[in-house]
Amino acid sequence: MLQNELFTFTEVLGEQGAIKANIKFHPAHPIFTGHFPGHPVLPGVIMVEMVKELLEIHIKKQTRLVTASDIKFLSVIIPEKNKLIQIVLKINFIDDMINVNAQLLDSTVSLFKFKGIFKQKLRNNLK
Amino acid sequence: MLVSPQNIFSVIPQGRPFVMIDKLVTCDDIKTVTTLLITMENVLVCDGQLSEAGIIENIAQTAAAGAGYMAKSNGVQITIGYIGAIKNLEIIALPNVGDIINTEVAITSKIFDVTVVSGMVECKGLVLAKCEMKIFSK
Repeated sequence: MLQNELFTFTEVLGEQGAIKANIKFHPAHPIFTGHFPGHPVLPGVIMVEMVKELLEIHIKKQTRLVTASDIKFLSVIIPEKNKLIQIVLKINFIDDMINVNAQLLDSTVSLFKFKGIFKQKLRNNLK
Repeated sequence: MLVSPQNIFSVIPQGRPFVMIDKLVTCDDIKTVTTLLITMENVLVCDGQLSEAGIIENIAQTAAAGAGYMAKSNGVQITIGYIGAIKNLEIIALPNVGDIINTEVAITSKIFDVTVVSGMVECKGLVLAKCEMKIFSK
C-alpha cells in the first residue's frame, strides 16, 4: 500500500456505487527521487494504484486488477503543484467482477480516466 | 545482453528507486526485450508480489529503454517519455519475489513524438500481462 506513504486519501465519501476522496501527496517520498531525478512527476501507474487502493478501502477486501480496456493519462501531476486532487470511482458489481470507472480531477479538469475490472484477491490464486 | 543492470540508467531517464527493469537484452528499430528480477526492495512490490502498477511500469520502462538505446546509438539525447494511454490491458498473474520476468515491447506505430507499442510480460514461459500503450516523448 502506498496510501499514507506516497499519498493520503482525505475526506473519503462512499455510497452505494460511488466513492470520492481528496488526495494529498507526500513530495518527500523516494519514488519522486527516481521519477524523475531533479524533476518530480507522479508516475502514471501510481494513478492506477490509487484507484485500486481506494477501491480496497471502500469494499474492505484485497483486489486484483484483471483487465483495463481504456486508461487515459490526460495531464502530468506534479506533487508540488497539484497540491490537492480529487478521485472519483463508480463501482458496479457483476458476478465476481468489480467494474470500475474512475477519474482524477484538479477542481473540474480531468487528469486521468480509467475503465477496468477488478476481482477479489483470493489466497494463492496467483500462481 | 546490451545493457547491464549497472548501466541501465544510461538508457532510461528514471532513477532509483523507481527502476522496473534490470537488463536490456535485445533491441532494434521495432522490438525491445528486458528482464527484471522481482526483489523485496522494489518500491512497487506488495505482499511479496510485483503490483499491477509495477507490471505496467515494467512495460513502459522497457519501451523507454528501447527508445533510449536507439537514441544513444544514433548520438541523440535521451528524452523523457510519458504514458498517454493504455488499452486492452490484461493481467493474468503477478510475479512473486524471486521471479525473473521477461518483457517484450514492439513498436506498432511512431508518428512524430507519439509512439504506440504493444507489450507482453512473461515469466517461466507463461504470459503474465499484455497491453497496448501510447507514449509521448518530450
